[in-house]
Amino acid sequence: MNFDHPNLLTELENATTGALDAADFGVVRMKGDGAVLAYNVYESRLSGLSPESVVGKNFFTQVAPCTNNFMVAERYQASEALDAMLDYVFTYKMKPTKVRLRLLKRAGAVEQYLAVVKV
Amino acid sequence: MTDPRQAAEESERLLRFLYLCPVGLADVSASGEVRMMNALAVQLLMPLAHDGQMENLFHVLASVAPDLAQVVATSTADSGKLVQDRQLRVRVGGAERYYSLNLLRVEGDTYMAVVSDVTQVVLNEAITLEALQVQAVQEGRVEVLTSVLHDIGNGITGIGTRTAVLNATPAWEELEQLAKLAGFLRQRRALLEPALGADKTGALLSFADTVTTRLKARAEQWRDAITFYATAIAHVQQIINIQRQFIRGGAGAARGTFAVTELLDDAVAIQRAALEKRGVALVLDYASNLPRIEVDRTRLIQVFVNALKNVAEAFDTMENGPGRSLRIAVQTVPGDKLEIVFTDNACGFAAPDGLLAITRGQTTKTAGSGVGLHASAQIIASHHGAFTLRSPGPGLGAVCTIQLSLRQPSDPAVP
Repeated sequence: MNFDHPNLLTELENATTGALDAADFGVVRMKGDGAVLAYNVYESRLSGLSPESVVGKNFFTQVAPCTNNFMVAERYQASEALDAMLDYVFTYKMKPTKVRLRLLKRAGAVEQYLAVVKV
Repeated sequence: MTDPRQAAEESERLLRFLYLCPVGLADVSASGEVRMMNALAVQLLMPLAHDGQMENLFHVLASVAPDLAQVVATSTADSGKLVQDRQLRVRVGGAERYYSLNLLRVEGDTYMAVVSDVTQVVLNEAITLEALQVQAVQEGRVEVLTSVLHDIGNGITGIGTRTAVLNATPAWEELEQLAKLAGFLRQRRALLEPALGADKTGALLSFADTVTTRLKARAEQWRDAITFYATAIAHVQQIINIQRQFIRGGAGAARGTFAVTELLDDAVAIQRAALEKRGVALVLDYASNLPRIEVDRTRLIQVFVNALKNVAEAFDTMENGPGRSLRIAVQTVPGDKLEIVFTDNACGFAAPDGLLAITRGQTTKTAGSGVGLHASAQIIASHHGAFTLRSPGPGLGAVCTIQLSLRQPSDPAVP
């Protein structure tokens, strides 16, 4: 999988948990309400949070509150379909880290995705 | 030796604690360079970092707190707060929000910034301040109004007293004396005719009778007029007393058994000018033989006055034109209830199922506070009654219905 691939959303939708873990960028698979379904190894290593402790929690409020603003969380809420990139900062283990986010959501789909890569 | 698995769990727990900390924290150097930062700090500050850079806190906050570098540079304290509870007004996603900033020196080149979103606190303070200002203005108006009503009341009382004296004055004695004179002359007609002649005597008697009759008629008109003025003045005094009770918040209000239609008439008298000014035709449709009811007279009039005021103001948003009407109907309805219905053809309003949910602050007016409606509903509730306001929709008028139980408990609550 490639972070910049135009069909990344399709690839993520078809990917098993193992395939997500094999990605060289962070992937969060979540429901439309933000509940985490999968949290891949890459993201887990960066954040220091184990997938088991994250799955089932609300990503925007219980896992990564840094994304709970109009730039990230509210864009998912406001958009029917979404494929947007933006430069952001994550605080992996309290260290501000520049990242590029890709917000992915298909109209009518049950799941949505957040892809994260360090820049 | 520490179990590696246990250590990892503790580390993750600590990370989660910091990630979820509901206050933004940042560890920065004297130049503002960010060394550590938690998630909430990023959530709050990222929208301010126009270039997406979060390396330097002072740069991120430059537009709202440009003096931070100088504050740090000029501080001589080894440790402690350099910036305390400073309120920052920021624009986030097109909306105005308020942050609170604290900056403290931990030691040496280590500073800690604490940022939190205090928008709700600021808004609450603004609402409280506005309410206090409105209250102060209202109290000022009440002061003036009290004084004006007091002066008017004194003037009216003087006129009333004088009118009452005139009304109590016995019939004009001069008229009775004139009538006696006419009778005396008639009795002495035989003695007068030789001296004045028959024609002149007849003319004199006729003149005396005519003058007496006309003066009696004028005296009667005078008495009717005085009675009318005395009644009108008493009514004005009553209205002024009601208004003074309103200003005192209903203090001294009288509870007793009253005819609701009389209370409605008082309320109409108070609001008549407002309705006439707007060209509203008033139709009173009172059923006959309505029972009297135990109510708090002042408070009930207050409800009626407010209902009439709402109707009058509801016409303000409409174009001037004929056909403006308000119908006030009073009747008894099943369930031992007295029903008062105000039906107008003013601007109406939109509400789910046409029924306005009356809560404090709910209003149908563009400039209304919603306090009047809520207070009215509370007063009616304190009478164990029901207050509803319905409208078929905007432009389609409104119906205000008040139902009062004819079986009043002996100790109703007063709001």
